[in-house]
Amino acid sequence: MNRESIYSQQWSMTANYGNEKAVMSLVVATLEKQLQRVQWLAHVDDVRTVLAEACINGIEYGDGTPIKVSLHIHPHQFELEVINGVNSRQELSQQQASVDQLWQQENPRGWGLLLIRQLCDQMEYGYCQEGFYIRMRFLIKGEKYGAKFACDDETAGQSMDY
Amino acid sequence: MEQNLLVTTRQQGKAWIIDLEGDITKTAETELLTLQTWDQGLPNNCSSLVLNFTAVTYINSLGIAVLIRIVRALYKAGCHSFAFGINQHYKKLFRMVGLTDYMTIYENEYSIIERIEGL
Repeated sequence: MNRESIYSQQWSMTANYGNEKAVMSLVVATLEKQLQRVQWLAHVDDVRTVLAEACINGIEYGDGTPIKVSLHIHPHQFELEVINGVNSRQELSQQQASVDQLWQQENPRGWGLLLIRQLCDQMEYGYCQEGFYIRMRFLIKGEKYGAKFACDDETAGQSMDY
Repeated sequence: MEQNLLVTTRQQGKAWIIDLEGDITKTAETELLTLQTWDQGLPNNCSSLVLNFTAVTYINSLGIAVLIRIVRALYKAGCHSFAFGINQHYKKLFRMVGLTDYMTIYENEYSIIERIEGL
């Protein structure tokens, strides 16, 4: 759990296509509950897409290892982190390709990271002890989150498997 | 959890229309790519493909990759591609990946058919 966050939750999913939709629903439901008074809903479809794409990246490149999804809410932003357990180097050059470069490929792939880069306010990816991570941040506007501190939520900080 | 993609086709004039229902994901590789030899154009001398997204609920990057392969092949074969029934979010994604350079999006099928008749 991120020490600086005021709400954190973690989910785990098996690396099967379609599971990203279930995790997407769980995370968005949690955000809706936690950020009731904060203007973030304009981003809800963007959140769904970046999360789905990060999970699909884990399914595609994670060698079948379970995928860990974390949500950390801070006063002015929230952060989604998706980790797959693979330690071998992924083809990051392909994932950093531009639109024009991708269109030149016979079977163009790598759109997921391109979409993530454009849809969230900040993203980073790389390797950590647990494997390959993609971290995505969204700024939140309006009333400062924190007035509704989520300590009353018994699932806060816990892990849920899917 | 993944909703299957149902594909039905029909023809109206020079337009070959594909009605899509469900999720456009990796399964679209099977359902859409094998539907036609896309680099040879469209069947029955049709000159335009029309994709109906009205009943599509979820599209991910793997599905987008399939759409790109189809419209790119048709463009090279001299055919036009159109689409309708797409919500604002997916329109945005299609613009981001450059799909709208090869596939023109209209609000409804009627407008596309009118446009095709004028080609």
